[in-house]
Amino acid sequence: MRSPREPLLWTLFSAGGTITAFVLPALVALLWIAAPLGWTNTLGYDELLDLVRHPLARLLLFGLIGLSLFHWAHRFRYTLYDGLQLYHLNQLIAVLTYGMVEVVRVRRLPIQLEGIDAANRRGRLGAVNRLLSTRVGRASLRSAGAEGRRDRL
Amino acid sequence: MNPDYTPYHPKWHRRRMPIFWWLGSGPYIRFITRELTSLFVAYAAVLLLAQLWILSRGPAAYERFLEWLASPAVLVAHAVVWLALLFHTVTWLWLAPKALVVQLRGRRVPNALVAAVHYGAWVIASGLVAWFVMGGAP
Amino acid sequence: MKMVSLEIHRYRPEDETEPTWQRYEVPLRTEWMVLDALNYIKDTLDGTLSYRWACRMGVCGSCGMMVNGEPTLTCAMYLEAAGPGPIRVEPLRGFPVIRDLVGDLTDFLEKLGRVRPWIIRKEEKPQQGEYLQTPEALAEYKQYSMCINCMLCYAACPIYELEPEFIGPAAIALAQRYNLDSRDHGARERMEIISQEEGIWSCTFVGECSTVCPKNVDPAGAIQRYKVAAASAWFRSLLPWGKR
Repeated sequence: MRSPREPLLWTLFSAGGTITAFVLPALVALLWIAAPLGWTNTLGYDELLDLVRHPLARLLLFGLIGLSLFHWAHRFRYTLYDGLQLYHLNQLIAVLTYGMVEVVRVRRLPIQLEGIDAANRRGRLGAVNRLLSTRVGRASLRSAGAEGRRDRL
Repeated sequence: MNPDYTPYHPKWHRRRMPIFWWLGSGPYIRFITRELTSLFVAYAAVLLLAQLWILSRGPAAYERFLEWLASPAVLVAHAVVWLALLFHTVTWLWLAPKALVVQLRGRRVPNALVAAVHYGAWVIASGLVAWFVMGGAP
Repeated sequence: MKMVSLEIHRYRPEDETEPTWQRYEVPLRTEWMVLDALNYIKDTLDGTLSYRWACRMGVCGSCGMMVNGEPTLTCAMYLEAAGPGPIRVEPLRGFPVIRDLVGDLTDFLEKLGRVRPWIIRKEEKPQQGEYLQTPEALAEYKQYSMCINCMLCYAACPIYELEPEFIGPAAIALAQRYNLDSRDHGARERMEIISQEEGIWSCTFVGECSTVCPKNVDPAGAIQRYKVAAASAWFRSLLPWGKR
């Protein structure tokens, strides 16, 4: 099979777009508009902490945040290429966009999710975080190198 | 007479694509607006992450974050973010049927119907999110 | 007789290095298309105007030009509908201009050939007779077979003008027409060619190609479906039983 780069990137972009399309409007409206304005009863600090600590919640949040950022990275790369015709910067842009996602996922996500976890369950989920983030990270950084051959005539 | 012209050797003319081609027509403007919603998606993801991090820092820090959320400038900004995300959702779910052609008993399901199913699913998903966030989950 | 002005893109490489505009006054007949106005100009006003046309009824795909900035078949647009004027007529975007309103379509033809737009079979049927196909099987690909190669979609696609290697909407739609044909066995071969950066992955679903298509081929839909097919084919190849 030919290089799997493009189908993989597109699938992640698509998954990100779909999950954000379904979830973000309601989430943003509730968390950052309705809640501060007091229109809804929100969870108190302790209840929220408990909710977010749940492994399913952590998995969903990891998926949501990771895929959202990937969606942005992929889409914004094309917007810069086509919108501003920055082809000569394609390697830099690929590194910046996918690389930014990689940095966030590897550095912050495990830390944030673990910081919430008072009990020491970092072993399994932490390892999964690292595995997931590096495999995609490797694929995306490889794309940065191979993108260099895309020259404008 | 064009001095560079050689008889029977055509000198083609290629237009140079203007840098602001995407402002050139209504459809292109709508397209670039749709693509730029990805920036707002990234913002939402990062802020969500920040909220989780602040949550882990203790009730006092979280309280300050909630106050920041309630300040008028931030509320207005987040209303804009929400509108952008809504635009992302509406356009994404409208375009999804183009990629997912469903055939039922030899007849293609019309795009409008597939889109309607997507929008319905969106409403259900939003309900689920609301249920989660407002404390319905055990 | 009411008159309407046409502002026409002129390029005469033997005389000038840059294109110019030339204005003509043409009678505004209600039954005329823009093509009839161009023919009037060529017949009575200026015989040096160069442009392509043939069937004058929207099936040959020869007369595609930019009318007021939109890719249009000039034989399908009423002169009155083209506006109070001046009506701007330019050659199709994305293609080098040979002369006046004539573009060089070699690039498209090369890309069309590259995607193998013909029935590919592992082996031919030994006996005489046609390959049978049910109406349902025909319905699967019929829409994509309607393409008349007018290249309005290429003119509408900003990616095609930005990236010279992009294979383009019509070529990919035609590849899909054969992929979805029940008589064809060449889907994998075409997938290798089209599931590349210069193929479907350059497309950002602007969607203008489908908007301007005079035959409702919906090349944008064909490309998105192809992306889904390519992605699922790749995922299947990851599975241990997926390797063929």
